[in-house]
Amino acid sequence: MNNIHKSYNSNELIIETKDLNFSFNGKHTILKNLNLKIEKGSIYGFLGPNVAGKTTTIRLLLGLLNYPKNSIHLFGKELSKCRIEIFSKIGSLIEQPSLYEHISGYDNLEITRQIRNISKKRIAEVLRLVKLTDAAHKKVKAYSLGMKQRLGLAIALLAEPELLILDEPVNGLDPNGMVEIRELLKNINRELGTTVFLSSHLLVEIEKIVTHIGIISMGKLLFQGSIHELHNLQINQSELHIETSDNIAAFELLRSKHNAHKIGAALKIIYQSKEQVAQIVRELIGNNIDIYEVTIENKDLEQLFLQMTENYTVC
Amino acid sequence: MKSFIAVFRTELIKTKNSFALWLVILGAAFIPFFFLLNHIYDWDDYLPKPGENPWNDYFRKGFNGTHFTFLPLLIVLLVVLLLNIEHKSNTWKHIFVLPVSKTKIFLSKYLLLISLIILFYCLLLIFLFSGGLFLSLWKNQFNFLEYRPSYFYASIHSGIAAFVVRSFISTLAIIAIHFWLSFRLKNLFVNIGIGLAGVVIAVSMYIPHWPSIIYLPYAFPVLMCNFIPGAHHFLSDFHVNSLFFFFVIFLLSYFDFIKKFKG
Repeated sequence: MNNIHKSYNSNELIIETKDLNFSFNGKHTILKNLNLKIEKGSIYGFLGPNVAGKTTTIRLLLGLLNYPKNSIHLFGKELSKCRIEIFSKIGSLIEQPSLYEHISGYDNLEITRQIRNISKKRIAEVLRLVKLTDAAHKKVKAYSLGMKQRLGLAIALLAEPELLILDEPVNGLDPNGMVEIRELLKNINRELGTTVFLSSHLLVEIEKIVTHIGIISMGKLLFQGSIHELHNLQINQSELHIETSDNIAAFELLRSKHNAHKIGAALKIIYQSKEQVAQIVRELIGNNIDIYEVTIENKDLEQLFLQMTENYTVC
Repeated sequence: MKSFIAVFRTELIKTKNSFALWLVILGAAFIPFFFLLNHIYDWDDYLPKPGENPWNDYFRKGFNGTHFTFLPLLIVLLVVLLLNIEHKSNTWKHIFVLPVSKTKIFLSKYLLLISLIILFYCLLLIFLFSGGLFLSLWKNQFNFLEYRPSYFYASIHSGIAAFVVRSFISTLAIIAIHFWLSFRLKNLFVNIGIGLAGVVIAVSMYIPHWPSIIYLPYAFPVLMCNFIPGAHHFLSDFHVNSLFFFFVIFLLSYFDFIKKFKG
């Protein structure tokens, strides 16, 4: 299960890290040989438990921490060489949103608008998008956590960036708010072609919207690939449970060919395909063994994620 | 240049509702207000001699009150409060991922700070001037309406404009020191504590007239008390030292900000 890396084939990479290592003071290793590949137009979910290295990765991608030269490329360019050009195409939200609480939400947007030289009407648009039009002129310190999160998103979206980098964007939102933000991100991705890179520690939060997933634990990338590849992996982890009239005979029959195991009063076989199920059934019936029950025990993605991250230990 | 102006405008937005702006206004009013009360309470002690321009002595005493401990502490507090806006809001990381150079961010913050200090001087002069006018309207013997302040030409100790320029130069070393400390230290109390300790040392050196006081940045504004300019040079030794400290620390802090500071 460990170190499962899948590489993409042809598409243009918006974010690429090459053997990115990072440690604080050269001692405490945070990231180990991280090779992220984020395709243009994808919604990439960067998944990992707390302290896995997600926020550190995001801070490195945005140049907020010192990183080894030539290890980070955004839009095909080395970050340190084209900082301003690259940042003009990125909207970001890192950890809690960075907001000036003593001024209004509108003024917070105005600060970013002025620097990015965006038209004034765009402020009204993003406020409407995140449903903060009515609270726009209130001081941010009067906002709830969810409102602050939405304002942070509005700031990230203000420039209609080509790449959105969002660190735990649905943190602090109620279930309705989560759904709204997910829909919003999906729409932006679909309609504007915006590439979205978002981190989360909960798979269920993002599995419905992401096209690609990277799973990180203890600074190491355990899986990287499309959501379909992850589903395939999930299927490969499923088990077939078979109960028959003669489990001993059935075990002897299926042991070598299908790698069957005995568990209690049933047999367990690693599930591979529907065709495999049909073949097993045929073989049992052909040998006069009655089948009482055949069940496929699926591991859901969350279980798979937990298994991946819990089993992994740093060497 | 256009983007620099845009960054500077955002700095102005950030001062909205902040205590930094109030500090400038209240700080500029503080000494003139108590100075006025003192004149009202002991008015007969402050009446000018016949034929004497009352403005010269009035401004000199007003500035003495401002320079002795008040101005250096106010400058420290102002610098700390302005830069603490970013620490408090956790917004350094937001600024540093915007498509603008760090040089422009650094310089726009400096420009805002210098602008606020210039505003402080303007308000201080307005409040002192208004106080003089009020006193003459209250008691004609103050003679403020009979004379005009010596704005530019040399009077007893020099014109007001030259004095204010020298006063401003005397604050530059403290500005540079605390600007650097302010983006490096998140804890504003440590920063203020350093400033307070500096001012205490400055005052304790000023009273016994230690010659080496001209090398202590916190003492430069204090040395403007009863300042008499040299006959040949516009700037005294401590002004030159203040400029020297300013340029050295400004450059060091600039490179630290550009190369190492990540928020």
